[in-house]
Amino acid sequence: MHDYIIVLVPSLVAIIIMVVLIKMTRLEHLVRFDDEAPVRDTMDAHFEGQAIERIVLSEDQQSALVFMQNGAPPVLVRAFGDRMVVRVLAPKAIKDLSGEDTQLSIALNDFTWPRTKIIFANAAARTNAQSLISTSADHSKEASSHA
Amino acid sequence: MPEFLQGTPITTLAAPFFVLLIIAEIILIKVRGKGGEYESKDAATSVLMGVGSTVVDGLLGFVSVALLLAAYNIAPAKLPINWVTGIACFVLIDIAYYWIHRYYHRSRWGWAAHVIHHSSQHYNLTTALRQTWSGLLSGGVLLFVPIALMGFHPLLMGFCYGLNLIYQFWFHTEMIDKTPRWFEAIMNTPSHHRVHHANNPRYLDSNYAGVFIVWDRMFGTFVAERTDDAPRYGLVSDLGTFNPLRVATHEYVGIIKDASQKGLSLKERLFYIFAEPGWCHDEGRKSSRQIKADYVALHPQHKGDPGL
Repeated sequence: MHDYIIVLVPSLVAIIIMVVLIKMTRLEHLVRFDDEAPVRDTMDAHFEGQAIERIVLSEDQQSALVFMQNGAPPVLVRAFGDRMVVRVLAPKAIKDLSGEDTQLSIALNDFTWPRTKIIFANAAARTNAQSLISTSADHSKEASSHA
Repeated sequence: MPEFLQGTPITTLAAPFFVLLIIAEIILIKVRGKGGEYESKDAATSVLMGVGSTVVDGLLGFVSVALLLAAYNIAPAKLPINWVTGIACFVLIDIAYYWIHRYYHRSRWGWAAHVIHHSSQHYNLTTALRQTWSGLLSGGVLLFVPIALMGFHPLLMGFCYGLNLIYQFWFHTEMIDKTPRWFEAIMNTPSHHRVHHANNPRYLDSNYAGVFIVWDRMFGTFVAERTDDAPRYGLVSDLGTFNPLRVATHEYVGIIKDASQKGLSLKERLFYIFAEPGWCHDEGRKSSRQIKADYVALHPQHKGDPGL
């Protein structure tokens, strides 16, 4: 046990020093979706050559929904520290999709992905997006059942 | 038996220097305004993964030692410990490291352990510390057994492996662009290892070397860093969590989910465990080879480039 305290205590102190230093030096630039540009950049990196129909930014500037052309499933983009993470909202990927008022909540079948809340400007926009995601999922299910 | 082989592991002794170098890197990035990026949660996760790895190694390391000692005990000849056998052991450990590392990337069972090291979207000195907690489970240690069977003492092997890991710390940085040409030709460097950590299609599954990049050049896995395709770090599908427990176990959870799907044949279940990462019985995911093929289809002018 003594050996582990020798490892753990200095390590925790080192982590605290490092985090304080990163904060003090203002090195980190946390992602906020003020406009579509960062979303388009990350989409280009992950889905090169795939045409985007439209992008819906969450009002809290922490996530975005990207609707694709040619019937491809929508893509969820989320701020992750100073980076972004993306997931295709294919039917198999969605565990739960629920909405209330202006807020859409998406849970994925992904051990590393927490439930994501997307806040829309109004309830109608939320309903529309929810319906588009559901429709896309239904279309994909139909396509796979005919395959 | 020399005393230095029996004391505290050399990687533990190096830990304070790792911390000092991380602090120096953060300050240098701030002063120079370039040479890397830091994010507090990412960096803290990386260091916590390193601490966890050290603790697990401390608890379970005896299994690897026992295995290697058993092999050493049946070795036809026992080699003495001196400078010559030390250097020979260091080189052999590095060759074995290359093949273990290659296995980690080419089989999902190995990848489940190693993916942790690639799970940051950053490339800085803390990334070097983002180490697996399940190295023993991967079975990679088996590739060190032939070295023990040659008569190299497991403690000497452990020391050389520690030196190998210490060497690998410094090149996890964007602070250094290129080293002298002769050095880039022989040794693993920041440039070579940036390629290894990148998820750009051309860079996937390349540069497995630990210390000497010559193994990649010899075995056809070397890809040079290009200025027209800057490395993007992380996984093909990046993690959405900083939780160390989830980071450490996510690929095993994925394996269990995939292999236990209804309606699969036994072969498909085994493929989900041991085939290349991204292997899928339907169109759900893509392996590195498929990602490279898709890239070449979009950019036919790059067909035949190293890595493609």
